[in-house]
Amino acid sequence: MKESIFKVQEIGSLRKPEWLIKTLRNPNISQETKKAARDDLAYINVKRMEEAGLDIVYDGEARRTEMYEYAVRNISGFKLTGWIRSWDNKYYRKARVIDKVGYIKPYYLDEYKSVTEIAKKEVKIPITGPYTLADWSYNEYYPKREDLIFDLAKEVINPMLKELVSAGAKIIQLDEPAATTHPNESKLFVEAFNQSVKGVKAKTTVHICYSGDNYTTLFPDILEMKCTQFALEFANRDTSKLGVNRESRQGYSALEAFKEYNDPREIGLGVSDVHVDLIESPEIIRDRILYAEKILGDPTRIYVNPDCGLRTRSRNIAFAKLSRISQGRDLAKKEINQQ
Amino acid sequence: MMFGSYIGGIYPRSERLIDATRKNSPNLKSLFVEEKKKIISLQVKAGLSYISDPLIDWDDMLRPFLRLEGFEQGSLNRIFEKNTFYRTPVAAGKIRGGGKLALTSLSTRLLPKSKPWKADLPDPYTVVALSKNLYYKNRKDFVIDVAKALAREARTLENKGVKLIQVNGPSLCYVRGKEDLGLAKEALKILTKGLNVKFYLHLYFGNPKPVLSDILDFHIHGIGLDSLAVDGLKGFKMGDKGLALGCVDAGNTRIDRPDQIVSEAKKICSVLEPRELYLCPNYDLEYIPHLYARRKIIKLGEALNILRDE
Repeated sequence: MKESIFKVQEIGSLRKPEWLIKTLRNPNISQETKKAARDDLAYINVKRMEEAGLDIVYDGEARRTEMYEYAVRNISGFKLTGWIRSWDNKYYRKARVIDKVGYIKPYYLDEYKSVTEIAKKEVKIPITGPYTLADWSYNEYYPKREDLIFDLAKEVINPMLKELVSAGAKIIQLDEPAATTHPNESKLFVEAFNQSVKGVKAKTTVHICYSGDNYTTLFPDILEMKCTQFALEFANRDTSKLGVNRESRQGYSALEAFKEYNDPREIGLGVSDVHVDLIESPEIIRDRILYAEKILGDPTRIYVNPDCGLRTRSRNIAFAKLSRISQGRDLAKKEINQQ
Repeated sequence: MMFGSYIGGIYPRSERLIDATRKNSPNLKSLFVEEKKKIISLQVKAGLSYISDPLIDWDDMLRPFLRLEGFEQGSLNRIFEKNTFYRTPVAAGKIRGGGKLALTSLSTRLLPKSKPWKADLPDPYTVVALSKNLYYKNRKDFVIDVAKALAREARTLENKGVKLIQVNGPSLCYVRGKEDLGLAKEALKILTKGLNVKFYLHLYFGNPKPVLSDILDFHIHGIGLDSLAVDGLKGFKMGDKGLALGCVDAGNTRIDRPDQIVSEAKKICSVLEPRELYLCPNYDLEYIPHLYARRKIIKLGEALNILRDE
């Protein structure tokens, strides 16, 4: 029996419920009460993820405003400006870089410690990586873009990761959704990642999503990354047909590159599209996992997750999707164990 | 040399409007109108030569055209090198129709009578390059059908009084091969045929150098180029084509100085020798916050005034 295969994990953020938003926006409520409300949500998120059958959990980023804004608010040199569209009516706040960036405090440390007190399952902390922080900002200070990226990697992210490891962090995921934005910068992205994790004694993973080119421009540079796992988005571009064949599993063609380059690392397999309300059937999730196993040949390398954080979906849908992922994983595991 | 100025593409929404769209406020429609009025008025006050509907109700540059018969809405995909995403058009059948889609965002009642109007359309080749094809056996038929549908849009825009159409063709920067360039050229010919409107084909989000000599031969009045991407264009002459120079950076909040915009424009014109010149943002202003877009339009107007004074 291969019990430890296809571990289910989350990628990052979950939507904040209305009660928390109202609490946070109410000027008559004290900061202590607001913090307690965020802590309550973190507790609920961790427990609901565990109930949904996840093997690796975090708190749905309950204590963060948003993956980018929370980080730049806590790094010197940034100044927040206005809102920019991500897609449709989804927006995020961008910041200007108006001075040399610098580390102020380990801004993920308290939340990490708190999650470890709550969680019964393994904990993986998601952290916004240097390349994405730089790419999503307006650089008005650094004459060269790479200087901003490396300052963030060396001066901010690396010392913070080391503090997290000192506090007991075992799995750290660097979120780099911007990694494929500039096809000619894959070397720079990889170097920045490697600088960030230099001397960090923990399992480091990277999350990349919404590549316009099916991750092709990251190869072969991505093979030089000092990480254990690539957690990637696939389901968004896949078909809804059942099957463990190339035609049905069009969204997973990028896996072939990992096979072609004989890269032995783990894949965090995106099996649920976070931009639709459709709650995928356990059977389609099973087939996506089994197809990945067929390509990669080793089930122990495959972790299972949504394509990205589920904050774009309602909480009910998000947790239903996570439950279905676990159910699909169970089906896939059964198939593998019967072989 | 004749010169002027215009803006194109999608303008950023104000924080008030963003908030209202998030909450799906009951007065959303009137807020859109109110905001469009302000942005149109800003263009008039800045002295721009052509006035555009700011397209703040477009979700992305292709979305309105997904309503053409044959297209379905596909997955989210990155807009070139931006952290903004579009819905991939999926050709699930023969592309037909067209003629009323762009019009839904041409607020004729809000645009001034005293100034000529400008509108935006996507370049047919770019639409196909950014689409997923599940229907056509060969890409040429796909491009031609899209071009025919967009030509109906262009005709309607002309009938409504539009004098300049900005054709957005970022994918053309990435075309390699004479056959595809020929196809893009044919599509533009279909789009522009028989119309008495100025067509400016805007190339951005990529290096135009490898394709520029071919595109100079396209059936269009002028070409839009990003001033940040024109290094190495020595040796090119615009000939009978005008230049829409993207000299205001829509990718950074740093505010461009009008005198620098002018001196950069002069430098580039001395090399490319266009027939006419328009000062423009390098692409849609929606990639910077509303407040900065507003400042940039004001600076664009100031740059235009310097040119006029000279």
